[in-house]
Amino acid sequence: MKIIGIVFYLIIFLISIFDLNYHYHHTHFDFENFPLFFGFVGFLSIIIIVYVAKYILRPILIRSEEYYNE
Amino acid sequence: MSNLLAPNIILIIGMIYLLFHKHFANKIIIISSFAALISFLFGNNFYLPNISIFGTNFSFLEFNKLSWIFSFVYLFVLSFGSLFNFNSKNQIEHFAILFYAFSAISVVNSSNLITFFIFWEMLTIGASILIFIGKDKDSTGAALRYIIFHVIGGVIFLSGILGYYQNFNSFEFTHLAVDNLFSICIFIGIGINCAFPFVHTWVIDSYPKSSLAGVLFLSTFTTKSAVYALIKLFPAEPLLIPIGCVMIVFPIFYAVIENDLRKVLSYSLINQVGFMVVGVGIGTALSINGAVAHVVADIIFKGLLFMSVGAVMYRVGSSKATDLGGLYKYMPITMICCIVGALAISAFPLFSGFVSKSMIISSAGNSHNIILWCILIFGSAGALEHAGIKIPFFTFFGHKSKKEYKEAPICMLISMIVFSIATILIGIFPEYFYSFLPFETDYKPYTFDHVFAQLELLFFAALSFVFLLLAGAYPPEIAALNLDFDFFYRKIFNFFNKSFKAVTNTLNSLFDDILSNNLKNGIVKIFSSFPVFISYPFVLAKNKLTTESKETYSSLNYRIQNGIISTKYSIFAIVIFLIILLYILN
Repeated sequence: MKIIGIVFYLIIFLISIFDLNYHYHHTHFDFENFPLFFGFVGFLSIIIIVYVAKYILRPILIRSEEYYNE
Repeated sequence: MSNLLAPNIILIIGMIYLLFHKHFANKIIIISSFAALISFLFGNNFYLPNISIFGTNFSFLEFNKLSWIFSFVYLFVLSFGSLFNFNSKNQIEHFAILFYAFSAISVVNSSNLITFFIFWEMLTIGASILIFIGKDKDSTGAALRYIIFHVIGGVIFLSGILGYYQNFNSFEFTHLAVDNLFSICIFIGIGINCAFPFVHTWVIDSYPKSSLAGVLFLSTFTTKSAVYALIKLFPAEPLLIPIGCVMIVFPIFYAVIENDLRKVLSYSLINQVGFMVVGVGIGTALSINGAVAHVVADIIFKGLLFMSVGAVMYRVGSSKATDLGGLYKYMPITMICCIVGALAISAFPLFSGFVSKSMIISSAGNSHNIILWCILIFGSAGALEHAGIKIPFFTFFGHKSKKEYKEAPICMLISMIVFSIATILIGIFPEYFYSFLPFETDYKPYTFDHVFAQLELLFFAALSFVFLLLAGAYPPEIAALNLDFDFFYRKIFNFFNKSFKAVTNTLNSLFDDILSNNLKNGIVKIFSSFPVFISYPFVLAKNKLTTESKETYSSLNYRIQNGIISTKYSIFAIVIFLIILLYILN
C-alpha cells in the first residue's frame, strides 16, 4: 500500500510540473490553458460534491431505513 | 453460414423449452442465448414470419447500423449475463430474462411505432418479474410501483403515437420536435423510461430491490432502449440538453451519501444516461456517435460493476457499505474486475469510458457551450468519485471484514472476466469500435492533449478524495434512507390514501349496515312472509275453532310482525325502484 501511495503522489507531482510548462495545441475554450486548470477542476469538484452532500443534502434528506414501512 | 434462424425466434424457442424443463432452466437459457448470439453474428439471411395487420407490416427484425450495435450488445449481455446467473435455480427468473431480452431486441429492431410500442410494453413485464422475485422485503411493492409507473408512461406514449398517426398517416419513424401535443406525449412516454429528472424514481426504487442478476438486465435494457428511441425520434432536440445536464448533476450528490451500493450504481446509471441524453440533444454526427458509443460502453462497464457487487452480495448477502469492506483478501479476482469497471466508468485512458465519453465532451466543446462543457467535466469528476472510487473502496477496502468469505463462483468469474476484457478492448482499439457506430467518424480520442487533460483531472480528483479521507471529512456510511422524489407519492399519497380509506371505510360500513344487512333481511323476510300472508285467511278459517289455532295464529302473527319490522326498508327500496322504473319508462 505504501508503494502505491508513493507512486500516486509522484504521478501528481510530475503532472503538475509538466502542466506548468505545457501549452495545449487544440482547445475549445481559452481558459483550458490556465495552469493546472483540469487539476483545479477535478480537485474542487470533489470537495464541492462531498461538502454539499454531507452538510446540505444529508441533514435534509436522511431518514430511518424503515421510513416507508412505518 | 447464412441461412439461420433469427435470434429472436431462437429466444422464443428457448422460452418455450424453458417452460417445460424446470431442472435445466439455467442450461437452456445459456444455450439459447449463445445460439442467438452466434446466429446474429454469422447469419445474414434470416427466416422470419411477416405479419400484416391494419395494412401495417409487422416485420420483427430490421437491421440498420444503429439497431445492429444495440442488438449485438443486448445479446452479448444476455449470453454472459445468463452465464453469470448459472447458479440460480429459479425457473421464472430465467424465463423473465429471456422474455425481457427478446422484447428488448425486438424494440431496437422495430420497423414502425406500433411494433415498437408493443415490445416497449413487453419490456415492462419482463422487468417487473425480475424485480418481483428479488430478495428484498420491499421487492413486491417496488415491482408494483414499477408497473404503475410504466403503465402510465405507456398510456401517454400510446396516446402520442395515435396523435402521430393522425398527423402523418403512418407509423414510420420520423424526426420530431417537441412542439405539439402528440410529440410532447411521445417525449414524456420515452422520458419516463429514460429516467428523466422527477420521473427517475423508479430506477432508484426498484433496481436495488431486484434479483441478484436481474439488475444487470434491468440496467441494460429499459433505459438504453429509451435512449435508442430518443435517437430515432428526437435527435438534436434542444430540450434534451438541460434535461441531460440535470440528470448528470443531481445523482452525483445523492450517490455520495447513499449506503446501499446497488443504489449508488443506480444513481450512477442515471448520471451516465444523462451523458447519452446530452449527446442526443447536441445532435451532431459526432455527438450521436458518442451517445451510441456510450450506450455500448456503459452497458458493459455498468454491467461489470453490477456483477461484481452482485458477486459480493452472493457471498456476503448484503450490498450495504456498512456491511461490506476488506474483501480484497478473499475475492481478489472480483476486486480486479470491479476496479476495471471503475476505471472505465471514470473514463480512464485505455478503458472504454474514455473513448465514448470524450466524443460527447468534444462535441459539447465544438458547440461552444461553456456551461454545458463545464457540467460534463464536473460530471466526469463526479462519476470518478461515486462509482470509480466509492464502489471498489467501500466493497473491497474500507474497514476490515468481519468474517472470511470464498471467492465468487466460477461462472460469475468467467462472465466478469469477459466483460472486463471487452471493456479494455474497446478502450485499446477505438478505431475498430467506432467503425460499428451509425455515422462515419475519424475522431481520435488518443491525442496527447486529451489524454493528459483527462489524467490530470482524474488524478487531482483522486487526490482530493484521499485528502478528504485522511482528514476524516468524507461522510461516513450510515445505514439510512435518503429521501428522493418518490417521497411525494410514497408518503404524501400514502397520507391521502389513509384519509381516503378512513372516510370511505366508514361510509362503506354505514351503507353496508343499512343496505346490505337490513335491506337484505327485509326483502328476505317480506318474501318469506308472502306465503304466510296469503295462507293466513285459509289457515285461520281451517283452524277456527281448534285449540291449536291460537298457537298457529300467534306464531303466524309473530312471524308477520317480525317481517314488518324490516319491511320499512324494503318498502323504501321498492318505492325507489318504482320511481327509477317510471323514470326509465318515461
